Amino acid sequence: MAEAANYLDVQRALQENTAGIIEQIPVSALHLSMPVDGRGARIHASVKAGEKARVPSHVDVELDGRALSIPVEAVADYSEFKAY
Amino acid sequence: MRALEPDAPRDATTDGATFTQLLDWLNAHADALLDDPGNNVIGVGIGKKSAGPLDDDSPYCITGFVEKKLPQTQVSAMGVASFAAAVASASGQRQPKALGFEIDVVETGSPFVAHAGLKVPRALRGAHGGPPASLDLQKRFGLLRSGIGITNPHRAYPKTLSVGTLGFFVRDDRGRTYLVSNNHVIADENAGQPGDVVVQPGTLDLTSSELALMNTLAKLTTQTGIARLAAWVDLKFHDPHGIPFNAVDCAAAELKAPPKAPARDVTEIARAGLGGNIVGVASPYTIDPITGRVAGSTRVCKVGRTTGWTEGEVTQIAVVTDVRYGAGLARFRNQIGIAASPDNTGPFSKAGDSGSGILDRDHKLVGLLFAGSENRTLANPIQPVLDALRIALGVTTLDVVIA
Repeated sequence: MAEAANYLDVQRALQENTAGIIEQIPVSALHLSMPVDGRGARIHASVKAGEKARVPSHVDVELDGRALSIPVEAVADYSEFKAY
Repeated sequence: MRALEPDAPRDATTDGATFTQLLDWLNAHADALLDDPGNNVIGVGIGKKSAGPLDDDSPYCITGFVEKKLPQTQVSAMGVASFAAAVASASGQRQPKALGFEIDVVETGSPFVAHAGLKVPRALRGAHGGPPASLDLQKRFGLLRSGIGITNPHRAYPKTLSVGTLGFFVRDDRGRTYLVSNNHVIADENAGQPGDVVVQPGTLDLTSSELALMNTLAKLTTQTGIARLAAWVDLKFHDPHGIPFNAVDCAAAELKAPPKAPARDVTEIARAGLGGNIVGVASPYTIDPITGRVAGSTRVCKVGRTTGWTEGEVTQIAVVTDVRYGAGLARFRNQIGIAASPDNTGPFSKAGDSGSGILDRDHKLVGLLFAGSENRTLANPIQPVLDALRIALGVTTLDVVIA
């Protein structure tokens, strides 16, 4: 049974398990981040319009031997970042 | 879908829906509004009913963006839903008057587009430079400081003109001083060579007369050179074998002008633009595991060549995203996401601001700006930048120059 992830877990997972998380979200382009709005520990996934339904409600990661489940909040607001 | 309840709490200062309520409405309904082909809305957001600054006394409202405002009769004749009707429909209301908030329509004149990078063929000069920033950081500065325009003109000048921003200065254990900016500003996306001359101002900010007077790279660097490229961290792009992760987009150039270059004053290099001084390096953001409360100031500001002094709010940390460069796509992780604060009348950054140092409200460095989208700015956290440059320069210590 996976544990619920806290904020620190989400922050670490995004840095240490990045590739594994991306593999679980089958979309063509996305940004992942951890919102700091105090509305709960989660991953914010910005995706293109039309791909929101392909984002799972949570992703599974393992940190320090602990199986964790992280909620994913999908928003169809993907906009490409450009180095400028 | 629902509209705001008639008895929903109101913001006493604005006599309308609160900002949070409108944000909730946007989160719930903006997609439906924009996806509906029955209206001509190209964007939606929150603004003031007055369409003025966000700190004026008029109520917050849902603002719709259209390329061109048309008279109601013409809108009806075209069979297009008015913004009021579209908002009501998206809210599940039959009549616009049943909405519990104000709305407004703003004409944009054109669709929204991403900014082009500020590296352009000479023939397009003028089309991309735009009007001078409110603080004129685009011109030649006798007194070097953070936030002013610079570039590496090698391999491009005079065919291509470019500009980015000088972020801040660092000093190593042997007393050498370097300016810090992005790899893509002063190391040419990995194509730079040690010793390349960094010039100030950027070549895109030179006048026609200046371009005519300095019509070769040698003349340009002799007149405007301020530093020589010393080290950078290679950008790793997507390739057929996989997608490597990047942590930073940074480079350092030693303050060592070409022999005949006019000397610049370096007594104010801890100063940010025309504003205050950089006073230190902020501790990395830490987060309470349970409450999610962030330790450290999330209110930030920056001084950049294009938009000058702007203020923002760190809205995301641990950002993972691809960033478009001239040489390809590069994937980053552990980045800082910044949105313009309501104090701003414009975006937090635009093309040409790359390389800016991000400061917190105590004027301590928290990041290095390197990319942006329509409404977000991305920055490398400052500590990985300093660590990576220290290793790339092969020095024991590397400290930010502070006042």
